[in-house]
Amino acid sequence: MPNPVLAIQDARVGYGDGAARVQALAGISLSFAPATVTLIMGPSGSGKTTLLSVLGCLLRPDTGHVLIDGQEAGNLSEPERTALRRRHIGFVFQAFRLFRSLNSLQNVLIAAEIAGVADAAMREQARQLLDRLGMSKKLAAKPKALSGGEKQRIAIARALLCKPRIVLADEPTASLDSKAGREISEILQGLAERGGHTVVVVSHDPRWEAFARRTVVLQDGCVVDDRSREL
Amino acid sequence: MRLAWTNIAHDKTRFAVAVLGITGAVFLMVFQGSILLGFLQAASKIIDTTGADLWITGRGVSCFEFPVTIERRIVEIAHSAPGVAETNRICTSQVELRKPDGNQQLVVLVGADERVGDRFPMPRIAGRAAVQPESVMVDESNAALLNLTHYPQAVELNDQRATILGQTSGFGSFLGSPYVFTSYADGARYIHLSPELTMFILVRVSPGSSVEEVRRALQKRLENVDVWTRDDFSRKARLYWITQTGAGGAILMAAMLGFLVGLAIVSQSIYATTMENIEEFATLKAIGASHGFIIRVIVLQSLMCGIAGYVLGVLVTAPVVHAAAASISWVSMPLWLPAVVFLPALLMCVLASVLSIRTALSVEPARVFRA
Repeated sequence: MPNPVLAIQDARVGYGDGAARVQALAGISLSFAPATVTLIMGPSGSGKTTLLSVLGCLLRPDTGHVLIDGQEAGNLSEPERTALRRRHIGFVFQAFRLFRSLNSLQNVLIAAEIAGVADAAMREQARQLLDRLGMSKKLAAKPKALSGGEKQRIAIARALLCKPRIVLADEPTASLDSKAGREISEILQGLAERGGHTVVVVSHDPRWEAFARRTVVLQDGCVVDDRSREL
Repeated sequence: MRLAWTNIAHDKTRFAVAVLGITGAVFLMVFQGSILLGFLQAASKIIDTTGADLWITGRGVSCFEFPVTIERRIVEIAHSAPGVAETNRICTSQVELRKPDGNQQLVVLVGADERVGDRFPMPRIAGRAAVQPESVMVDESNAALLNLTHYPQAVELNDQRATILGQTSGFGSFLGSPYVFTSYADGARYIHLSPELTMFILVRVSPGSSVEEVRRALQKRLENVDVWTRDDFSRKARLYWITQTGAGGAILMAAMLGFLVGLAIVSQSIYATTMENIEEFATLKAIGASHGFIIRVIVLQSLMCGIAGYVLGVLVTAPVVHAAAASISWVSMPLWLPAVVFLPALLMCVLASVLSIRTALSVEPARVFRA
């Protein structure tokens, strides 16, 4: 495997105390190579979302390590982890998480505003991204006027604007019909295959396997299957 | 920071509520501030209008309205002191004024020597500097209360004949009893003041003499009275009315209440907006927004409401204060007062956003993965 962009080593996360304690991640170690879509699958409660939260530096593991570009992220302070997310990670959510008062272009540009680089060049870049994702005619539309597939395209554009090396997608097609779902899957696959991004997708949907080079299956916080294939 | 604006513009009703809350608070602060300022100015108006450098008062006298008598001979003692150029006297007391219609009204009579000050109201003969005997002046704001329809008009002061010669302006009483101005001789006669006594002695210092040095010298020479510079006595009078009477305190409290009511309304509004957008704040945190960015969004939302509410509040207050001047003649709203209220209004908005900021910063970013 080429040098991993993202890795966790022996990560453990538990919720609750005493007898009620649940081990969401029970010592997982995984590495994610660039230019690859990795699909994380598993039944509800298997630890998929917790794994994604740890990979995205949104949740600190109880023990173990999180490495981003070789840098240990587990022991960083909260502001440092926030800055790390801003620089290296793009997020795509099942519920899209767009800002309802902003239009499509503004929703994408918010990523640049947060990074403090919202200049004219970035604005042009956001337009080009939206154009590539087939949203050039919906720049001024507010989220409530967009379909689920369109919202997810906006969310993907937002995730990509600041050129992160890692894209983490949580059930990105779960709220979409099959046609829109397929389009979003192809876009995320293209990000990895042509853009060189490390894409990690959490999904229940077995149709995703067709787009992923690697599939990891979790159960009770453990990896029970980890298989790769040529596309 | 477009998000701050679009967030509040998105919910126009909540924005309107916040703006109206601030408008109300600004109105209360400016209006009560106008009353407080006018009250303070009125409380020392007579002192400030004289041309005196120093005021000699009875020991412990705190304001013009509640004097005690002092010996008349102090005038000569003061006059003979080094650095004193001139002395004048003022006496004052409440007296009964019998109106033209026969009804009686309690008034505050002020009798002053002619040279007490150029701006001091004095019943002078038209076109001449001389003071008309047995004559008085009243403030225009009290004309209706005294049932005065024309001048000159005959009245009685403590059962003695007097003529209201005309009216002055800017001396509306804040005590409820109108001021009536006359010469010192007539004033002393109307209030039955003994020739051996007086109430206030006003001193003008010779050119080139130090006011403070003359004050100290007089105070040393006159141990049984107080000697104040005019500004100090003016300050003392204002302080007395604001701290020792319920009136000043009540006005001050109302202005503070305006601030607190506005703070509560704006806090509630901004907090509700924040809670409504709490998922968006979680998203901001997840995608890398720093605490500073989130604080800026919330504070800017607050300040936008604050500026809109402030402008509206001042626009509403100006005509109301103007209208109020018809019944409260001493109310005063100088241009700097709304400008001064701008800062507390902004402070109110920043304080109002504190709770919202705490909530937004404590939201768990990992909740973004919940559908």
